Amino acid sequence: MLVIVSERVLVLLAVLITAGALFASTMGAEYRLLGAVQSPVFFPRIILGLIIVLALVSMMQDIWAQDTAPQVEKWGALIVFVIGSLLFANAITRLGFMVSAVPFCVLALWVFGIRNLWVTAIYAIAVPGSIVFLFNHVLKLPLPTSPFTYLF
Amino acid sequence: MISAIPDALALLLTTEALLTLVLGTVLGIVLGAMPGIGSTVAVAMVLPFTLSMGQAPAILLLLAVYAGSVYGGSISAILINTPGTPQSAATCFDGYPMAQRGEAGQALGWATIASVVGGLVSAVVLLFAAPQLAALALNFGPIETFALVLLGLTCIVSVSSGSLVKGLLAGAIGIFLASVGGDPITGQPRFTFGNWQLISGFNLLAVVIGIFALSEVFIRASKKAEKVSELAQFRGIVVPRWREWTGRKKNLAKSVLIGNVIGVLPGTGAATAAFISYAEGKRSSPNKEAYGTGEPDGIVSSEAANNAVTGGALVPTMALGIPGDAITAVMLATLTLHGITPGFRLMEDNPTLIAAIFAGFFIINLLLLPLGMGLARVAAPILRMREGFMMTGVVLLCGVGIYFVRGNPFDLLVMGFAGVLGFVLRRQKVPMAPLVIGMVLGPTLELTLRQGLILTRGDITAFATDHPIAGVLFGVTALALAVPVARSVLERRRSPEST
Repeated sequence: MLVIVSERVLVLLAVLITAGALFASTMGAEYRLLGAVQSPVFFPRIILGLIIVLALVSMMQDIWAQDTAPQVEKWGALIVFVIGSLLFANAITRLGFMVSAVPFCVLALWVFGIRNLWVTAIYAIAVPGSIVFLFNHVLKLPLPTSPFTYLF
Repeated sequence: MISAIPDALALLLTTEALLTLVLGTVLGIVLGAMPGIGSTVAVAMVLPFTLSMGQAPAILLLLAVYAGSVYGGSISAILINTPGTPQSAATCFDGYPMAQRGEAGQALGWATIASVVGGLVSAVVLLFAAPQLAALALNFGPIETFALVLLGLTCIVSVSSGSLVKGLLAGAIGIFLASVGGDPITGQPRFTFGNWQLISGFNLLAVVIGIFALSEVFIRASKKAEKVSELAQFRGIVVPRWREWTGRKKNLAKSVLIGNVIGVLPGTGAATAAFISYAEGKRSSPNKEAYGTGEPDGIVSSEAANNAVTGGALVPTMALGIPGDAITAVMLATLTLHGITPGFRLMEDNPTLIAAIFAGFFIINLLLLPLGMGLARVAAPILRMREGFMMTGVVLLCGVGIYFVRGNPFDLLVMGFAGVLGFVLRRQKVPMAPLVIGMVLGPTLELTLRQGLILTRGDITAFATDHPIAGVLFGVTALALAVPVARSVLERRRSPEST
């Protein structure tokens, strides 16, 4: 029996729906004033149409071939790591590089299976510290500092 | 071009320039030796740091990292049977068996000399071929440029490993992402949905680093740590003596030639060149029976070809502005960020810069010999480093790098989300190289198409009928698309399942 719902099909369906919604958004009144070629959405419409067709064909191919994505071995760790990475990226300019990098390093090393507290502590302080030293003091390209101190 | 070489050398023989070349090559060798980093990630990681540099040092740093990483991949391929870069996969076949016999130093010696010869010859090819090719593009208007970009996009077909449809889908997504922001003709915002940060579009570097480097870290975080193969005993590189090359020089010359020819063709890449060269060596070498058991010719075939690709791949990038693969796409992005538009005008207007870049590429390949010999011993213990230390460092450096591009927090978020997008798409076997190629070529494709349509009053058939160069390029594009499809259909018909 054909398995229709799989991760691969759902991802392609998401691409299809997003492309469809974006295509629909180009029908708005703000784009109607200009002629075809002059219209800002002339080219994106072609590309979005292409994405819709290709996503459909790809979805059919995956259903037909019963091709499924490989199992994720560590879902929990992955989700924690992705959230941690996004928070780190968002915190660099708000809390400063050093303050955001230290907890991120602790989290990342834990996700990658490094549980030795001393090793984690030394890495989490030494590596971001070296980066701050290199950029702020050697290369004179200052990284964002924290609201608490101008040193890091 | 040749007349500009003395000025270019004066530009290169400064402490800053030489230090850039040495540092870049060192960094490339070390990053290339680390399994999982690869040339594209290495170049993408270094890219943001070039923004505070001048044009020539910035490009030279990237070239040094590129050439160094291709060579560096052979260190882990030989010592731990894990290629640091896909280009070095064929080196494992004979490199690791030699290392297991206690000849790791000799294996790395063959790899080093073959890499240096391959790289040096490709630098000469770049120096002479790029200006000739660029001269062809001198009279190109928007329609011819559109046809050329379309031809460049066909390399998506060859970089789409696995599924052609998914490769094309990735390319289309890349082109769409590049179209977000202000319209190039009217300036009207598109797909910004009220977010002013999107008016200038997605930052190319943030997307590239996210989908290549960060998604790789996510993929590794989702898997249980793999046990690294045992490190072979290694006490330093042993350079092969001249008489040991007897009977192997023809194989070396052939491998260099294969690498250069494949390098110039858009989309084929160093990994393909290494495997084709290895297969050819296995067919024609006097030592073909020993291939796969630790035969130096096998290492020479693979390493000479993959390093010869580096210069060849830069020919269409520098001459026409058409990237052949993901690495040259990243290079092209750097050129444009530094205000350099590749093509004949650049070679006419700034021959010193171009000659400095080409001569610098030659010096980088010369540096591979002493630096490779010195660094292989240093890089060997790094291979024992736990994956977690390496991957955490990659994320930190990506964050720092993107911050330095514009100091914009939004770019850091774009990098993060591009990482997630890359992770999700890569799990579905959607290749990432076409996405970058689409993002790089998309804006030119759109602008030239619309300019062409305005010129021809909306008649698209006039693109081919009134512009013979464009017509020929469209024909070549059609062939470039049809040949792989026809080959795949034929292979499917010949396969045992279909009979």
